[in-house]
This record gives sequence, C-alpha cells and structure tokens, in this order.
Amino acid sequence: MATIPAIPFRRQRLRSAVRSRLYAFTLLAPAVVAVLLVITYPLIMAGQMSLYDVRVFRIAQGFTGEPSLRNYEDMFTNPAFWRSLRVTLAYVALGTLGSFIVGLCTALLLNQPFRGRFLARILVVLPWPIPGVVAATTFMWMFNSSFGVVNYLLLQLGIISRPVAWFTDSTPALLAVVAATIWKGYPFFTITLLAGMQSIPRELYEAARVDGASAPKQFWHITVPALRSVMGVAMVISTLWLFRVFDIIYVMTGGGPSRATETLAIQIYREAFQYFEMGYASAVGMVTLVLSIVATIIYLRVSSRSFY
Amino acid sequence: MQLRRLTRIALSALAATALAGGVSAQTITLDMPSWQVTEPGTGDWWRALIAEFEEQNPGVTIDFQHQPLPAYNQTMVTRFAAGNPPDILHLPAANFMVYAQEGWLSSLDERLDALGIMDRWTPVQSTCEYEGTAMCVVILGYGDVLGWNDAAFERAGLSGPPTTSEELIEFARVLTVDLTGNGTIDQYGFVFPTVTHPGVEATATAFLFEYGPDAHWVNESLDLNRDAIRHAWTQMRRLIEDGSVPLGLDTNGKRQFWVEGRAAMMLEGPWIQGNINRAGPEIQPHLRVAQLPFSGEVRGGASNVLAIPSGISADRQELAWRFIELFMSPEWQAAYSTVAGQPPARAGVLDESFLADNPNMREYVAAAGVGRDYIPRGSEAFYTRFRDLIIEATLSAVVQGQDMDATLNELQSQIRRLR
Repeated sequence: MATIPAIPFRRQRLRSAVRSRLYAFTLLAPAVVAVLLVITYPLIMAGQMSLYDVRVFRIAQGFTGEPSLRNYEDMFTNPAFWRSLRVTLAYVALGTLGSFIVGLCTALLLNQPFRGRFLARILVVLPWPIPGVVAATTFMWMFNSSFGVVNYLLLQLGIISRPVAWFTDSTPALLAVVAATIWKGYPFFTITLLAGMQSIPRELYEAARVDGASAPKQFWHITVPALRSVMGVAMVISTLWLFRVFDIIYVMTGGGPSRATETLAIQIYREAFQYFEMGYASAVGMVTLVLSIVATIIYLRVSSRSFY
Repeated sequence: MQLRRLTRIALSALAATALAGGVSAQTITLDMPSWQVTEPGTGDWWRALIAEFEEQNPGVTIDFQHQPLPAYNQTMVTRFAAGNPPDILHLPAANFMVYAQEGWLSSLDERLDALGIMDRWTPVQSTCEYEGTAMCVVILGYGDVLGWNDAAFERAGLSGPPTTSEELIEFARVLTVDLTGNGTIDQYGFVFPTVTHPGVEATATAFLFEYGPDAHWVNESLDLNRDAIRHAWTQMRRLIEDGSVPLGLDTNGKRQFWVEGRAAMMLEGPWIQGNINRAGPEIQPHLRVAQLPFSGEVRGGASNVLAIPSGISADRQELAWRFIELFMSPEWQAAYSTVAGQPPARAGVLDESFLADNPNMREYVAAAGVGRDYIPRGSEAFYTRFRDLIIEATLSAVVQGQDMDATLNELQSQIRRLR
C-alpha cells in the first residue's frame, strides 16, 4: 500500500488554508475600507482637529500652528462644559431608564395572549419610525404653556393650579425633552425585550408554577435574569443613541432655557456650526466619545454573565 | 448641385451653433443667495429690482436663490471657506464683521465716494466699516417701534399708547384680562419671547437703552454696564411678576399673539408691517404702531447689508457694484417703502403725500432716524456668541428669577472667555 508523502500533503493543506484566508480577506476588504473611510478617518481627523485652533473660515489652509492641549484646557476650565456634561448625564440616564421601563412594561403586555395583540404591537412600535423632528414638534405643541394639551390635562385633573411654563424653567424643560425622548425611544426596548422574552423556554415558567412561584417571583427570577444580556445590549445602544441625540432637543428648546437642556451634542453643534470653533467642538466630541466607550464597557461587563 | 446645397445648409447650421454659443458665452449669471426670496413684500421688491437690473444690463442675469435664514450664515461661511463665494453677498448685519475680518469683502470706499450720497444714507452705515473702510452698504437701518392694539386699549379705558416704561408696565397690567370669565387669561398686556431666542436680547436691549444715552451691555473693554442691565432686567421682571406676559413663547409666537389680539402690546422692528398685513380683517384695523415708550434711545441698527466678495473676478465685482448702485438709486429706495413696506436707507426719497397716507411708515422712518446700534462696540467679531450669553443671562434673571448679581457675575466671566 502506497503512502502519501507527508510534506506535499501538508504543503497542499497550507496552500489551501492561505487561499481560503485570502478569499475571506478579499471579501472583507470592501467593508474594511468602508469602515476606515467612514469611521476611522473622521475619528482621526476629529482627534487631530481637537489639538489645533481650527476655524471654519480658514479650514482650507489646513492645520496651522503647533498642536497643543489648549482646546482641552479651555473646555475643562469652562463652566458651560461641565454644565453640559451634567445635563447630558441626566438626560441619558433619565431617557434610557424611562425608555427601558416603558419598553419593558409594553413588552410584558405584548407577550401575553389577548385579542387584538397584533394591532397593539403595531401601535406600540409606531413612535419608532417617526422622525425625531416630527416627534419634537408634536411634543413642543403638547407642552406649550398657553395652549398645550399637557397643561390642559394637568389643570383638569387638579394636579396643577396654573399652567406650567415648560420651556422657560430649567427642570420642566429637561423633563419635557426627556418625555419626548422616552416616547421616541421606548419601542426599541419593546421590540428587543419582547424578542428576548419569546426566546425564554416555557418550561422554566411551568416548572416555577409547579413549585408555587408567584408571577412577580417568576418575573424577578426567570424573566429578568434571562433577559440580562438583551437588556445590556439594548441599554448600550440606547445610551449611545441618547449621547448623540440632537434633533429632539434642538427643535424643542435649542438647548435652553439658560443651557438647561444643552447636552454635549448640542454644544458640539453650536461650537462647530454657530461659532465655527471646530477645534474646540472636536475636543468636546472626543470627550463624548470617551464617555460613550466607558458607558459601553460598564454595561457589557454588568450584562455579560450568561443565564443559561 | 445637391452636395453644394447640403454643404451650405451644414455651414449655416454650424454658423448658427457658433453664434448661439457665442451669445451664451457672453451671458453672465450673478449668484445672489438670500433668505428674503419668499418674504411677501421684500421678496417682491428684490425681484422687481433684479428685473430692472437685468433689463439695464443685457446678457447679465441674477440667480436669486432662497437660503433659509437659520442656516444662512453657516452656508455662506462654508461657501467662502471653500473658495466659492456668491457674486452679490446679502448678509444679516450682525454677521458682517466676520466676513470683513477674514478679508472676504471688497472695499467700497472709492465707489461710495464717487457716488457722493453717503451723507444722505442711514447713520447706521457705520456698521459696515472695518478698520475705517466701508465694506458693505446697509439695506435697512431701523429703530424698534411699539405695536399696540387700539381696540384693547379702548376696552380698558386707555386713551393711547404708553410714553414711558413705567406706563408700559402699568398699562400691561390693566390690559391683562380674562375676557370670557373662565379663569384663564385671554388677553395679555404685553408680549416678549421668554424662551431661548434672539428676541430675548432684542427686548432686553430696548429696555436697557432707556437707562441713558451711552448705556449698552458692555463698554469697549467688555466690562458689563451693571446698573443699566439691572434696570432692564428689573423692568422686564416686573412685567413677568405681574403676570402681564405669556410665558413659553418665541418670537414667532410673540407675533402671533399680537396679531390674533391675544396680546395688546409688543416691541418690534419695522417688519411688524408684514404681521399687520397678514392679520385677520376684524383685527387688522386695530393694529397700530407708535414710537417706543422709553425716555432714552431707541434700539435699532442695521438689519441687513449688501457686499461684494473680494474673491470674484473684477468683471463680476463691477457688475455687482452696478446692482448695488441701482439699489441705492432714489427710485428703488422709494420702492423699498412702497413695495417692501420698509423705511428706506436713503433720506428724502419719500414724498409727503405717501407718508400722509401711510402713518405707520412715518413711524418707521422716525424710529430709523433715532435708532442706535444694538451691537456693542468691541463685540462685533463674536457677536453671535455674545448675544447667546445675553439671552441665557436674561432668561435666568428675568424669567427664572435668579439672583441678578450672581447672574451678572456669571455673565461677566463668560464674556471674559470670549476669544
């Protein structure tokens, strides 16, 4: 019986492996190039820009002068930056938490069998495809202090004795913006959590029922742990989304009153496109990027433990 | 024979094509973006002026394109930075200084001197000067006026508009009423924007100018004029505390309230006429204008300007200047009032009979004559940022009732940071 020589076979296997890797890299190459062009290059540009005094007026001249941390120094010593940072953290926390709670409640509801569930599912996710500008304009009118439906309802219910000037005081303005954000953002949680709930094996609930576990106990000991990773990913995506929300806030308040709703995204826009300070805006952008990365790491660490 | 005929036809066709090409090569299109293209009155006046210019300059057309105001300055700055400026630059006066500082504008000194009419031009033409050189021509120099509703005044038993700010506050209180008796206010005495909007600064400056002839937000060293600011904020805060002002409106909401009769008084520039013209027939006859009820100076200044970019060819600059020259002519200055409904920048172009038939125009012209520039000296280069700081501070002190001294200290420290 003839034996196949070992070396040529190994060489052949190696050649085949190289060929298949090459093939894979060739297929991946367009995506890699696109990512480099669309994401990495602007990121590097923004990082570089944050080290220079770049103004739109002279952008054609490129970066002039020596690179320095002047923009970062200005930013960290500027009370407006710290205020925007506080507003951003409050906005992201309230928006994410609010969207999560509403999304979880609606997902639990839609996970139950009832007549008209299909229609209810459609209605619940309707805010998701509505453009942010449209949602913001609608909420702006709803919260209008003179003829808004929110004040009307609160007055009729006796919760307030005189109309609330939603957009002239700091806290009401932030709450109004957060309300619009929650309305726009909760369907995302509904969809992802509902999908997660439907993948939980029914046997777990049946076994729990046999053992006499109440509905809240089933929720806390089966549903929540089983959804942990889904919740984590959804939270990350929502947090990243809220860090960069511009349209809702800009349309409703423009960042006011007195910067009470000026998030870092709004500040970046104002610095870059109203005051044309591209260098400073890039520095704020880099800080926002770092914050987003930190938030992502924390969420993923917390939610990485597997239930199954 | 047939070949010769065919050749003749072909040659004729070629000649016709060349001629057509020659004509189209001589046609010059000047690019002129503006935010006023769709404005009733003003837009009509611009189109008529452009038609006249094109008739006087065969082969030259103007592409008058609409660019919305909110992003107008950004669009223009981007075009200049990219080396693609328009041929005729129409600008809000508040943004002019940035363009002048960047060297993007041509000097108009020689041309204006040769024209010899600047002694008859609006006094706020000084807004167009950069380092002693005229870089633009003011289109509209104005002073604010008081819009008032005479039906509301009559119902309240008031004989005429207020003449001092104390009277304004008192009248506003009287004019704030629940007409239907359902517990909600149907008519406010006075209205000004109370959310983040440039109109906040405009109102505060109008009250601030009452303080004295030299009163402004800051001096040339950018030190706050604290007493004048306190006076302005106090008067505005009194109006809010009296409940005479509806809260939560921006400038558009403010105008809408007045036009619908839901507010009896407001401060506005001469463009208030546009609001009066579109009011409902039952309310329009009652909407009137008067001089500001302040004893000091009137808030005003240059609204918008025309300039010639330095980055375009000499031929195009010459054509752009011809357009500006036509705009400055007595006929088109008069038409600015008759068609656009705005006070002309050139003095003496309106005849007495026109003013007699248009009492509001008389008020606009009078206000324009005494209007003082709302942009403080020394803040021109970063006026947008400066104005935003004023808006924030005014909302804090007036609407949110924050401590005035603390707000002033914060404002001063922010102004010091301006670069």
